[in-house]
Amino acid sequence: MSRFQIGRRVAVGVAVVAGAVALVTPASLAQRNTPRDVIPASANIANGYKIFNTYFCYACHTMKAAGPMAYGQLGMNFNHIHAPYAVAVAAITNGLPAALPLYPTQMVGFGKVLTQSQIQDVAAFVAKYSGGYKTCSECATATTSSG
Amino acid sequence: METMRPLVPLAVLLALLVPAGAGAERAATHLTFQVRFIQEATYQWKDAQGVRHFRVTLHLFANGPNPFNAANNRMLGTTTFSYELHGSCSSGGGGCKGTTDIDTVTKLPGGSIVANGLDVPLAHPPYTVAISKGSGRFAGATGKVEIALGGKAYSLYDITLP
Repeated sequence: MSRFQIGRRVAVGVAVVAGAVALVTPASLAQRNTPRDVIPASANIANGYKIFNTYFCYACHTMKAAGPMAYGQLGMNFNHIHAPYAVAVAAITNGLPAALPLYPTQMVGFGKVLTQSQIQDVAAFVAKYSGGYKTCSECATATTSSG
Repeated sequence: METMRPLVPLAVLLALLVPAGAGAERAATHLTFQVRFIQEATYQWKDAQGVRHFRVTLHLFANGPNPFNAANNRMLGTTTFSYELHGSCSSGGGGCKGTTDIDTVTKLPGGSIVANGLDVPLAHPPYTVAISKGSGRFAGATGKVEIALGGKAYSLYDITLP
């Protein structure tokens, strides 16, 4: 086998590997952003902020982005923990008997209190701003009186 | 050289005995250490019988002396904490009544620990679960794990290795 042939085979091999990596990488990256954490484009974050405050979510949850009232201790601290969108929807809709081991307190479900649209909005707010001491840019103009 | 020869079998005998002695010491290994944890979001689902199951991940951090020689607040691993409730909990912070079945898998440097508890009382944390098996450096482990000491974000591992 000549040097040229060996070089050509190596080049083909490298091209095949590069092609495989190019094909696999987008799929791997897409997997990181799990479907349960995709916030619908139609969700209204500012309205979610208002609902969070109007329906007393703040009484149990700490979350900097939710404003100065949100320093409750009974439920999960959203400054520390990120709640993915689908998890937030499920918890808001159905409640949680208790989030053991640390939070032995029942969270009531809001499935019959809020509309689907409101649940979507507040879940989107929580999903976007939970996990880290974030500040809500969309919420600056929102007021908590209209629910 | 003549005077050295009788010492050779003795040296061989010592070489054979010392590791055996060290092994016997290891058989009595008892590990006790505390960790701090951060609790992730709780996932819930219903099985075919309509029973609700819950699962949450706890991120574990070194808190005090530990067998991994990790400095305080250094991340050590995770615990997958799955449970099923047989009771009820107050919505006003009054705690829970009844019991829970708990399955945990803790991943730590060098191995993992499986611990379970049936009908664990909910009223007064910690939730104590018995270690049923281990892998890696924790192979054959027995003992217990006390989760949420005093209702706070700390757990105690009390492990006996064979």
